[in-house]
Amino acid sequence: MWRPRASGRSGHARLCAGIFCALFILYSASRAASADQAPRPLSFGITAVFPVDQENFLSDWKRYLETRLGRPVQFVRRKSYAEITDMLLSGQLDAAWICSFPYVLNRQQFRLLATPVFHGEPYYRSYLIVSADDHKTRGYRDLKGKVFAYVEPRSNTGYLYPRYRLHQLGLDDRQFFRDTVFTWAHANVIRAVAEKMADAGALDGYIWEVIRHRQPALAIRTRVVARSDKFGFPPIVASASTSEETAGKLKKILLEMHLDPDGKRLLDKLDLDRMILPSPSIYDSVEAMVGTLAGKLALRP
Amino acid sequence: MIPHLSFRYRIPINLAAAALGTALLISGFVLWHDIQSIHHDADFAANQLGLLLANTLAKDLAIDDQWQAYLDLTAPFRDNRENWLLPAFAVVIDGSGKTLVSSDPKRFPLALSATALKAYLPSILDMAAHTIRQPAYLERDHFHFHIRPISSNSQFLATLVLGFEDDRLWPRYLLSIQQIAIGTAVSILLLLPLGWWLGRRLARPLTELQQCVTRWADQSGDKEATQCAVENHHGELGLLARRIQQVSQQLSERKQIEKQLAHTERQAALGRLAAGIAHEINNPLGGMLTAIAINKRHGHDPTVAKDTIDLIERGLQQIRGIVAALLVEVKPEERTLEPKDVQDIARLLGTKLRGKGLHLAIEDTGWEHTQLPAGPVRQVLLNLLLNAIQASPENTRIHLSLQADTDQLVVRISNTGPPIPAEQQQRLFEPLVGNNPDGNGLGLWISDQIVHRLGGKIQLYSTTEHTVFEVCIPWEKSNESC
Repeated sequence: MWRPRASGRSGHARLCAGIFCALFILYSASRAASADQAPRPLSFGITAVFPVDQENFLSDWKRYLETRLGRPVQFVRRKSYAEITDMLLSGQLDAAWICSFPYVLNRQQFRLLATPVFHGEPYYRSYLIVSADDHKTRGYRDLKGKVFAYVEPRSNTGYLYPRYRLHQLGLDDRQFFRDTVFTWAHANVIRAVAEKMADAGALDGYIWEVIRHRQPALAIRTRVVARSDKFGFPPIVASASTSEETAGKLKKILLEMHLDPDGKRLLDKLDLDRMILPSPSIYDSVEAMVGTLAGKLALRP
Repeated sequence: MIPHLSFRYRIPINLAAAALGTALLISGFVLWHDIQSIHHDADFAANQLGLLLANTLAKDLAIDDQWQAYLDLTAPFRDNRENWLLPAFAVVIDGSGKTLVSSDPKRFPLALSATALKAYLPSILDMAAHTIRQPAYLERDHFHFHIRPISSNSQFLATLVLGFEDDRLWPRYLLSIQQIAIGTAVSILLLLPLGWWLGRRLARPLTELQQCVTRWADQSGDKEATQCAVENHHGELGLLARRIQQVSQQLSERKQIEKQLAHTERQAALGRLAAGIAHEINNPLGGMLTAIAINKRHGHDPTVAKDTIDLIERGLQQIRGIVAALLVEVKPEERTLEPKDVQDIARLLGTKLRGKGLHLAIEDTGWEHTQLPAGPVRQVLLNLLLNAIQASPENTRIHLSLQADTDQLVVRISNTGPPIPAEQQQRLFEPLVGNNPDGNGLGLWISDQIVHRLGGKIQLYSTTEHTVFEVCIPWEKSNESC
């Protein structure tokens, strides 16, 4: 009497197991499909060439780029320009906003996407600053025996230009200065000079202006002693390994940022007018300095 | 503390003082403990800071990152310049004494010899060279330095010097003192009134007891007045109050008995006088009867008539004097002692004196009027004189002197006769001890009680020649002149 019931129960169990297995396979397949469909994030390297610490700027810009690119964007920050440059060269990054100096060192490997326009032109300068209460210093010549703050070894305005300037004056920084310090950020040069850790420093004039505008308490503790000639503004470049399509899409977005309110608001946060694709020749003066100092700088291609 | 002050104030003051003392003692201990803690915390913090900085700076200096070293070294100082746990400065020097990085670049400029460390820089370098892992300490010029080597992979990189000002802890001490002082002041403000209130509460039954005892003493025998709330008090005070009331009642009963005894004794003394007085009255009566008989027979002679009438008058006056003196004894009036009271007593004792052929010599320095009550003093004089008459051999002299001083009356009664033995002298003023066969043994005891009540005392000097009773009574009871 009870046999058929027993076989009936076992039939039910098999049916349930089958349904469960089917559901699991369906679920796994859908997961795999969605993983294939999700676009790889665009890796965007950022450096100290712009004031990255502006409130919510990066998250707003990330959202802005993701919406227009139709794929996630991942910002990658490293301490030095060299690290970002290496990642760009090795294809670990799709694009990056880098300094003019590493750009000219690797012009052949990078594709110029856009150059910001600051105060109406795609140029910036190197500022020589001293403490606000130092009223004697008038230029590099007066800094003999002082402690000098650089930004970092791959900075144009914060290292290449001051070295070049000393070279022009027939001076060698190692003997001329009592000590030199790399501070790894333009804002840190201002702080080092303001706190008198260093007697003087060289930095991106654009950054100093933005800080004077947005954090005047720090900037007014320093005084700009000398301004260099104009150099091409730090560009946004794409890695050689980035697809034409991605690079083109990104370039279009950047160049049109100033045309829509969200993009304009982001540019305003950085005190920039817009982005343009300039003639590569605006970076020639940087390249010339590199050429002049080639023997003195330990430069890699 | 203040021995003459009432318990009503002494207990609250003592309790308040105890509260104050306790508050101060606890505050002192807390302050001491606080200062120990501050020291301990400061030492601990200095060591921890040194250890942390040395470890962090080792990583920075190993890769020659001077800026990161600056950030790490100055991090504890950011916005904390007034913190008492921090050193005045932190400086990292290389083997030659040059500054690699410092928390105060103005004081210790980079890449220059750390001359701000003055003459003791060589000592610091020397100590740094000899300390491998443990920090070294150096105290100079109101500073103490924590000196710690910075090394990476056992390789010496630099020396970290933390300079602590010796007096940096003072603001913290002062803050501690200030906080504890406020705490102490608040607790004293609370405890003092509490101590005072508790003291008053404790002292209240004592004060009540004192008032009750005063009342019992003043209004002895009055049952209504002896009611006292403190009797219902539980504990020692209630017990004490009940015992004092018992004793007080016993005392008042005893006083009552004494009063009755005194009355009885006065009656007895009068009894001892009665025969003499009768004789005193009888004598003039005999004279007067004779005078009347003469007058009847020879009354027509005006001279005889006048003489007999005079004789009768003298006799009557003598009787009147005796009766007057007697009346005072029988019915003592509420009046003060006067010189005539002495005369009265002499008169009452006349027969007794004459019976033994005694002569009473009265030496009176002369006094007018006193505040002393006449009745009790007369009773004392009468008792002592009766004793003197009894003790005197026949045909001798009894000497009574009354000497009025500025603050007391001194009465001396001396008689000759056998001296009173020493062992009897000791118990002479106790009741029922006297050796007078005529007396009831209460005379001296009553006299002593009366004199005591008047604030005076009786002294006895007995030699082979004289026995002298000296009674000293102050004019005013409160005056302790005797």
